[in-house]
Amino acid sequence: MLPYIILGLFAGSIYALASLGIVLTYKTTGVFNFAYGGVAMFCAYVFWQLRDQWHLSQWLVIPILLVVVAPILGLILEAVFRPLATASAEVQIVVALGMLAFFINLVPIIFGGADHQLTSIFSQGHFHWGKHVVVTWNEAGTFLLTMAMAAGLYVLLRRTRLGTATRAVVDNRDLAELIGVNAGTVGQAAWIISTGFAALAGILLSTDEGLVTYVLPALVIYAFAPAVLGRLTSLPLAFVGAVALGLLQNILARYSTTGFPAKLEGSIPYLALFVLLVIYGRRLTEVRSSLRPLTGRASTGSPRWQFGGGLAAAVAAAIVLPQVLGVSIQHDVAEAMAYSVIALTLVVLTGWTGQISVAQMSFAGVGAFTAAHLAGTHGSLFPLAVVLGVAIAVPLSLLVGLPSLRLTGLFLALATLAFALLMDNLVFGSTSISGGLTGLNITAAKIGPLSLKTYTAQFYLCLFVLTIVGAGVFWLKRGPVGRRLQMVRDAPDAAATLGASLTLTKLAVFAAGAAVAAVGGSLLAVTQQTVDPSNFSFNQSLELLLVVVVGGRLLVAGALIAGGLYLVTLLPLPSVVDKYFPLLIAINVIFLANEPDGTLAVAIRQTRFCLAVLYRRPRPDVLLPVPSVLPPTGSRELSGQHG
Amino acid sequence: MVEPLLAATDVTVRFGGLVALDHVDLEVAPGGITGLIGPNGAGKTTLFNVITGLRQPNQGRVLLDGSDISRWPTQRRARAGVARTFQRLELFVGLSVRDNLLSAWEASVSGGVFGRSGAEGRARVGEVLSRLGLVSVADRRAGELPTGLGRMVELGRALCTRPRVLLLDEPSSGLDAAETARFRDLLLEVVGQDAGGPSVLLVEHDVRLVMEVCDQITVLDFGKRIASGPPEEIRDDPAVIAAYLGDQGVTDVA
Amino acid sequence: MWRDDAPTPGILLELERVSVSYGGIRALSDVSLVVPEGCVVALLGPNGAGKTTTLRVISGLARADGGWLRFGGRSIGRLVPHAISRLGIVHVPEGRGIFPSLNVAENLSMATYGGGTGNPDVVVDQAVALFPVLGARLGQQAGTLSGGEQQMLALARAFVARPRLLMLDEISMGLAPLVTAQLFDAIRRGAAAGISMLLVEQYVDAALELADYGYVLEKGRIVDMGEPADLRTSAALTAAYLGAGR
Ligand SMILES: Nc1ncnc2c1ncn2[C@@H]1O[C@H](COP(=O)(O)OP(=O)(O)O)[C@@H](O)[C@H]1O
Ligand SMILES: Nc1ncnc2c1ncn2[C@@H]1O[C@H](COP(=O)(O)OP(=O)(O)O)[C@@H](O)[C@H]1O
Ligand SMILES: [Mg+2]
Ligand SMILES: [Mg+2]
Repeated sequence: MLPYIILGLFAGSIYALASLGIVLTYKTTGVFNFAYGGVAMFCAYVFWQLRDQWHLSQWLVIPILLVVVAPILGLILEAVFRPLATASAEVQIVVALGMLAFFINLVPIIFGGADHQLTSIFSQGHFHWGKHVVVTWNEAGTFLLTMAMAAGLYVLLRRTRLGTATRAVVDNRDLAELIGVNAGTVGQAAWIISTGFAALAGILLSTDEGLVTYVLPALVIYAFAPAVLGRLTSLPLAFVGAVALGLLQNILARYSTTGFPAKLEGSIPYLALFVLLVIYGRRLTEVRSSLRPLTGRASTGSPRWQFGGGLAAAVAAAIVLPQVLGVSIQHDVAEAMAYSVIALTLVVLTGWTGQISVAQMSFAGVGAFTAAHLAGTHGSLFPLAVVLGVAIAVPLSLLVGLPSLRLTGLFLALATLAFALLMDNLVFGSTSISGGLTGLNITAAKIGPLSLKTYTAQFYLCLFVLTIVGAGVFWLKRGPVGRRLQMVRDAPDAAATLGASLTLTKLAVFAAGAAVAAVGGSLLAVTQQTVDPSNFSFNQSLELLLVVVVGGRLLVAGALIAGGLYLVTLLPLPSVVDKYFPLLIAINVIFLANEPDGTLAVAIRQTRFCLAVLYRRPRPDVLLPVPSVLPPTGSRELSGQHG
Repeated sequence: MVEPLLAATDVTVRFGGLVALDHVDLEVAPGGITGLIGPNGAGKTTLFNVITGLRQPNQGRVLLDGSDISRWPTQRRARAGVARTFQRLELFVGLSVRDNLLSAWEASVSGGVFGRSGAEGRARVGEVLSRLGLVSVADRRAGELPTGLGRMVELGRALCTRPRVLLLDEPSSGLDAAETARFRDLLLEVVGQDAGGPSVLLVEHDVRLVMEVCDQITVLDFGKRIASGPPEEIRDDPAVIAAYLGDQGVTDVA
Repeated sequence: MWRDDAPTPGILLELERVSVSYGGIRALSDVSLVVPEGCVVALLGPNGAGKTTTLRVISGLARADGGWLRFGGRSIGRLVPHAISRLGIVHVPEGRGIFPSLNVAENLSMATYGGGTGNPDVVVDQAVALFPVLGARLGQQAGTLSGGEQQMLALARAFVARPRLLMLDEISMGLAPLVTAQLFDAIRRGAAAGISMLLVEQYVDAALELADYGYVLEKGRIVDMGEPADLRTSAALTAAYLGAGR
């Protein structure tokens, strides 16, 4: 048992570093740093580059990381999030997720995409503890380093001026400012320290698990559960929770190293995250309550015209596109349209009801794998498979939604994140369900007599479904259902006091979203022909959210743009495009998360504005800002009354 | 005494160490206007939240017409006839004024979200719009309205649900003197409307307005009820004068 | 802004036609007032009149959406709170003006954070001299103090910060008369020592006794002003408070 406890302490202490860093910035600035794993990975690669490529001494490299790289990164992050201090939680979350994607996509560009092994920063070898127990220097060193860092943070917070100021800001930000504490500076310090912790956590994790682009951020997500255990505000609880998590995982590992229990071991942190969120429920409140929800500014024009226009475009596309597009592009367009169907569920969920889900592709995966299993060999079962996919996705969404939809903003996003990762690990990661790394084939799907083998058939099917779903969503938005969603989004308390059930509304939207996503997933399966679990992973859900944000999360058209962006990644374009495209999306999200109408709408608005300026048609509301400080008009009678 | 339409008994709410409501009792008689006054932070809004179910009290019960609704979720209380407005406007900013009212009506009837009895709803909305003088702005986005109109929209939204008791949280804050006077007349008209009108629980800082329109007044100070009675009595109550003017104030004002 | 170069002699704080809104709801309209150097000015008015908002806009916690604010000859309308605080304005806000999870000594040492000057130990000694009760509680978490002690702590911290202008918002709120008397005593001594003050108080009489001048706010507007003697008999004041006289 003892060896497992030592392993557990080792792993737990790395999680503890990450948890402390996450809690520190959350409690001082109100920002939950989803990008923490990305930052950790970036720093680990910098370390690898400097030490293993350029052969600098690691005793030079570590100080460089902590004194130069981490502070710069921390200040950049602070600068990104500071203007969002008064933005809604939704915007903060989206930007933080954008940051995560930014780092994940930046690392391969700078350092190359290859995986590496990283040797420990501590000396090789081991020592004996008692008779039977072997402890490596790496384990001992990691544990001691972590303890030292935690103790250092404690001393900093308890014994220094900066620490007192930090605790004062956490206690009462306004009062601290009134006393002359610059809360912004305190926030910067918190970001710098937190990023330093991320750097160390990244290096220590990579020496254990290898330097792998997609693994590291997921491992850092392990640290979310302990952070939530301390309700994101208690550093001691986060620390204790992290160590306990490491112990639990490794003690479990003692009992089994294969099969389901082993998978469970990797899933325990996600399970713990989900369970903690559900248990805390409404007792979780965000440290900084958000301001008003966003409203779009896009001029909507006449809805009837839009509706007609959209249908006409669909018909035109049906007639014209197959004529002009080459067959293989037709196929890519079909796949993009299937993707748009899934994107539509996020428009409704995130755009219209303000709930952030990073699990939509998991529901799509349910549809896809159901289709593959059922219709992979018996193509004619495809319609049944679609229905069955929906029939599985909906109860699953209720299972997730019922306990977690009481949560708001950040905590709901975390719950969907935990769910998506659990699906990745337990369901899509299981060979019997996903067919292993190669995936499952579905090549002979049929709807009645209609074979879906040809690209043209797939194109028409996807266009048909997209048109129906798009029109349906559009139509619902105009009526009582749309009003109900807007109520719940704009002023949930008011909606409840008028008789609307928030839980039912959110649950209905969540379940309907899961159903439609499952349909979209089975379409994706048909167009992709090979159903590969990595296409339905958490990372894909994240990517989906980001492209929908770029496309415009308030608009049906936003989902179509999202499909268009997905199409870009399918087309045989020069490899630079493939390389930089996701990074551009992430940057776009970081800077335009405030614009729920999406990038295109903003671009149109800006263009119009520029044209207006060029043609000298001044728009009074833009050109005449109300001055916050007006000149006085000199009535002085008051002051005369004092001696 | 008449059986109260709405009653809160022995309500206590704590926020961490702070006791926002300390064993508070409150009754709203049917068919009149009850005032709830007290300094900022006295716990008035918190009491509204307890009555509407937005906050679970640490202790205490809420009774509507004698039956205990303490465990009901907010929307069920709403459908039983408890409606309110908010101190900080909580408009559906993305909807037009008309849709604000219509969505309120839809929320208050079962099946409303599926468009059931839409015609009836539209009729009710039209009626309320014209009663409150909102017809000319019916198609404007609620988010664009000035405060005075915003307060009217909140009132209209509440009225669309045909409430039995209407809780108004500082309805005249942000209104100028003329708007306040108009609001007072409207309030009296709404309540005075024969049998169908709701009873009102009014939180208001404008003591003049409160003294004019209320039949009964309850005074809170630091989460405690310090007085309750008809306006004349409250006006002369030493505890109330002390809370508002300070101990020495008694001799000066009286 | 363009009168930065022309400070009025003897005037420490000036507000001219200041307006403030909360999410579109008007809380102050065209409020003008002055605090002369070395004077105590009382700001009176019923609940919800806008007294707190006035103090918040001066210290930068609320933004004016119209009007003009000047402190010691400098326009402060666009400064952030910590910058305003460093000019010497100390604001003890409504409620409990302390940091509950810091201990008493740490709370007091916060007084030295503004200018970055001042020795924490000296500051603590001064505060204890002002309110000896605090001496025995220096290591205690401030959140566990009694209400009166918390306000003493807040007031002590304000005094040892050596303010040019001290703004107190209903410091006696909810306290027993004896504690209130102690606090007022400290305020009186501060006034005698020449600290300029803007005082918001619910105890009208006590406030007017301390003050050199008073303003009456109602519904976000100044409805009366004058020397204490005049204000005591002012009909507007009584009417504003209890709705009488109409
Ligand atoms: N969500 C909350 N968390 C913590 N304290 C709160 C919360 N809501 C209100 N309070 C506190 O409870 C007290 C009563 O507030 P409130 O009911 O808004 O007063 P009123 O409406 O009478 O001005 C105040 O001290 C306020 O700061
Ligand atoms: N945070 C806030 N949000 C919305 N309205 C507010 C807020 N704070 C104060 N108000 C409103 O602004 C007006 C002035 O309040 P305040 O300055 O606190 O008055 P006073 O201190 O004189 O009692 C009141 O109508 C009050 O309800
Ligand atoms: Mg209130
Ligand atoms: Mg006040």
